[in-house]
Amino acid sequence: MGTRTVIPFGPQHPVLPEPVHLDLVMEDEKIVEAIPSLGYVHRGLEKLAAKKDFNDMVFVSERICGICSFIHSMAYSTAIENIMKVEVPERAQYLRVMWAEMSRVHSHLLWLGLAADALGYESLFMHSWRVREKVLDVIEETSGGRVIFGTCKIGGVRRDVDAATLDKTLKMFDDIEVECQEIVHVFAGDPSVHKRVAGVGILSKDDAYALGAVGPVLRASGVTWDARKLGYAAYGKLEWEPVVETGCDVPARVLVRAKEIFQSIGLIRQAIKKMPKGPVEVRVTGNPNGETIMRVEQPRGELVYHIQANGTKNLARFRVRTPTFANIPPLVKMLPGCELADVPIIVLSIDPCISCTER
Amino acid sequence: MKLGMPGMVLRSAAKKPATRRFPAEIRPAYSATRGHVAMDIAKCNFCTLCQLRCPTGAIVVNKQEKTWQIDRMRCILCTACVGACTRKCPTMETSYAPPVGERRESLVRFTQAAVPGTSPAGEAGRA
Repeated sequence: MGTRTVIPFGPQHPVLPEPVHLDLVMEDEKIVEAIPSLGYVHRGLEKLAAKKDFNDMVFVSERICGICSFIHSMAYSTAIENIMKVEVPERAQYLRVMWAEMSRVHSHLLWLGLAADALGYESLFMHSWRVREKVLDVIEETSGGRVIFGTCKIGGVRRDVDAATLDKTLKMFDDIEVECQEIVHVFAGDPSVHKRVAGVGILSKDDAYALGAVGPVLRASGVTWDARKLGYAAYGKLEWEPVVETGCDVPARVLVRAKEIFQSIGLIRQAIKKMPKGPVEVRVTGNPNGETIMRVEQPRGELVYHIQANGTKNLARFRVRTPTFANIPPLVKMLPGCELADVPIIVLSIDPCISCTER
Repeated sequence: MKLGMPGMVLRSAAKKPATRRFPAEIRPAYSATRGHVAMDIAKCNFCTLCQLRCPTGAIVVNKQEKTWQIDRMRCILCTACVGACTRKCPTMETSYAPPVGERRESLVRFTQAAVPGTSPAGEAGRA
């Protein structure tokens, strides 16, 4: 047995956009143990729910994450609607699916870019983000914001999208799909990418299941589970199958996310084509009283909202379990046995979103 | 067309850059873009509904002094005030508010003229 050294990784690290700290216990170049520590960007948003009006909390919940913002507000609104037994108009349900999938496309393109950057493939990173910019343009054209959509509200959505814009959105996504195919082709087929990541960051199917991995990390380990199959919003009325890979390593996670881009574009098309005409919101009166748990699928995995309301305008308890939090135990399992040089890409492969995790 | 990275690089070399030469070339704003909240103070009756609906407390309405003030740094462009107003005074513009150097410069105050109608646009000024 060699001498053990502890190497701190993060909270400031070029590969990490957000602060997470890992104490890496090393034996020569091999990792023996990884000890994570979190809590650098805690914002106290759960406590804020006790002070804010429950209607205004939609805006706060949207700001929990800067990337999957719409899905947070959708989860929060749906949870409150479930407590208050509000029937959301069908058009609003389809619009919610459309926007949620747009944020998934842009999140996955962002991640593919970051992954390329972590591999040292600078031009691929730039091409991924070039395409992502087009997705952001579509988001701005339909919702009014580029990252914070601001369209979801309790009882429906704030704004309707006219037919001409929806047609334009479909055309834009035709172009985006072609460009994504090229990028994904490089990720899937380029020998330099393959040689760098093949067999790195192994998480077996049993471990993924036992440690409660979620999202692309779980699906890349061969477990067929996607929270969208619960059928919230209009997902129950659309035809799609979860993307599953059996590689259990980093390239499998890349592939799951890459394939989910096309799945999301398909879901956007279906949602726009099946979208009925009609109102987009219903008037909600009164205060919520009750308790609920809402599970939705974010780009990073399954998000859980627990809301307790006591009949006043402030919520009694607001709890958010974000996918990155669930994916940290699998990450700690993946690291032992790896080389130090592989740590950045393995940490990145769970798509860590630390501000989400610490709320 | 799947040529991989060499194909992408060759095509990129032949094309003009993917980015715009800002500020020489500016992308026109979309009609949905939320840029900043503009105010038609002449129509305002100072009912304070916008102030009540604002989730961040960015709007301060003073009925006595007939002023309507918005803190652009607090405003999250949620359009709650635009939807709340019965007289359609606040509107969402597609252009972004100009940058400010100091925190207090983000306060913009609109004052209604003594006789409504004499100064239709009202007076906007830094508070």
